[in-house]
Amino acid sequence: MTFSTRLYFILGFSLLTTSSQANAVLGERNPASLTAMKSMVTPNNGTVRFQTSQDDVVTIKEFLDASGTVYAVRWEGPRPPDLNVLLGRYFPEYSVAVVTTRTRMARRRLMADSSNLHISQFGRPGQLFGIVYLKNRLPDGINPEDLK
Amino acid sequence: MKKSLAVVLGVFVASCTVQKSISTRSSDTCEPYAYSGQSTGTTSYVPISVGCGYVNQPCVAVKICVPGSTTECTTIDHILLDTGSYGLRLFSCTHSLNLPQQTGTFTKTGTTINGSKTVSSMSSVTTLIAGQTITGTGIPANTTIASVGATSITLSNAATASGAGVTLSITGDVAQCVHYADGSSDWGPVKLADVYLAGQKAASIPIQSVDSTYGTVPASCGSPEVSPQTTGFNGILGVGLLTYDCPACNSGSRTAGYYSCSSSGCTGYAAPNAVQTANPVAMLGASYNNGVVLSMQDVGSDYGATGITGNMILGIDTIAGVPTPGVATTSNMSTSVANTYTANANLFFNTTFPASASDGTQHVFPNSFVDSGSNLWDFADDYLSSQITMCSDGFFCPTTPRTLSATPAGGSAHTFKLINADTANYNNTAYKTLGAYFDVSNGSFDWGMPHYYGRNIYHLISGKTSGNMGTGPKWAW
Repeated sequence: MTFSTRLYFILGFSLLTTSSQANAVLGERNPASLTAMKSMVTPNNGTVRFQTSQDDVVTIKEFLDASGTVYAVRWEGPRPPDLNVLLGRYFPEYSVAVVTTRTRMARRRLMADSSNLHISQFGRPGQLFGIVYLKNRLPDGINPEDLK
Repeated sequence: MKKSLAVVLGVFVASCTVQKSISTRSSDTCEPYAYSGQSTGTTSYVPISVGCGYVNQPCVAVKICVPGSTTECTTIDHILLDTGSYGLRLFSCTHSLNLPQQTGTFTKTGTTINGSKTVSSMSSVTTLIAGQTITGTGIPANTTIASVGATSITLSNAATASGAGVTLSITGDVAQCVHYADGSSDWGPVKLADVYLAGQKAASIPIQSVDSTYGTVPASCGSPEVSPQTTGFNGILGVGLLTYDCPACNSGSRTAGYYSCSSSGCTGYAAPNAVQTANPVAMLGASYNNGVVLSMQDVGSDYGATGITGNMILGIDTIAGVPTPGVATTSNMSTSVANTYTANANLFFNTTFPASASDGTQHVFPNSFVDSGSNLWDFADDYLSSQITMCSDGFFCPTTPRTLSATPAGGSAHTFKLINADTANYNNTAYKTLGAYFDVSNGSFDWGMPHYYGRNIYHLISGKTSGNMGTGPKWAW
């Protein structure tokens, strides 16, 4: 990332922080201070930092690495959150992966991989649990099962 | 099962098309399965066939009528029987009945001025949209909302009286979006129909008409399903543990699932329970409405079977006796010999898996459930996923059949087997041995359709009672 694009992102996020949308975007830096993040230590001595938010009826948890970049988004609720916003530039990749993986007709689960993403969702109508993470951006010491 | 294989292939082909451009999906049209003659049943027995569209899919036939009519009726089969959802949903192209639209009314307050079309000082303008009808003191009959401002609205007719804090009743057409875990969703209006299950009638109940072309699909609904031929069913009959579809949707939840619509669009709406799509079983007459028993034939071979059938029995503990699974008798509704499992407010219960420590580290899965709409064993166990060969999409593909066991809270260990999902002989329609892993790490164990074969499984609806089971939500088997 060049300096100018980085500056662009910083400017973009300073605008975002003034809006009501508190969420960050997958693969991009979070506007809030990392010191404000909740964190916990994994069994492998990695540090999982996360922030939670609410999209009406959906509870959202975003995981951030040491630079403040969001590498995973998790949710729980009667519907997925607005993934078009939360996944940002990865949303088209997500959409294609979801549709092309739905070949075995299992309506209560989804597990899909694309070049950058791992996608998993489970549950019944009214009570869905889901996660999307960037496969190559998990911080050292953090495994997918640590993203709770 | 050639038909099932064809369906799977059909979806794969459709998926390839979608991969090039997601928008091509919306150019699909709604194509129903023609009625194949499946019986709707007699008295309190609804016959179940397995695999009308895909593997381990329990299928039933339902008759619907325009409310109050005995002639404007149709029978539809290829309907997924789903104990993990609530309410009847039929693709709009599966019938041509002119069913009345469900409407929903909510209230606001505002200030009217005699002779003016403007209502100011609105208590709020959320969930308001042009085209909704509006009534209240000083509002002429047949008035609609013409436009919505920041704190005021404009009416189609001028008010005939002045008043502050006037209660305004706003009515729109009700529509719904239902989300499924595989990323699919069903969108369309809620309509009213008489629904017949076997010989029993649920009179004028809300059902969803699944129609991806209805109004403007809300962004949060994603790309809703278009056609029976790509989903594998004409509709879903949700007979799970709730009477009304979505308790979370009835207060303050503007985008939880229900919408108030007019000719100009749809807006999120907190739908009261009675407005929501309803579980038809809960709306039947006494003796039939406390829940259902799914009584399925067993599948003998690890490698599947065809022609597996069963019955959905309406009502629990209303007639004494215990059924032979899959065989309809006149006295088979009692839970007296079954174990009872209590569901929590989220309709989950605990499952310990694996039941044997020799199969891996044991965990209690608090978000477990029993569900005929899941066509697999499905669970999140990191140890097993590292021990058993997995297919790329998370299905278990052990090189040799693998025996496992799980213990539902309140019961004893249940043994089941998994085979290689990639090499399963999909000429069959029913398998007890298909399973998949998911990694949301939310502590779920899904007792899916494989668990139903060879059992009578009782589903007592939340708040309903039975002689042996007490008060729902509960399962028993």
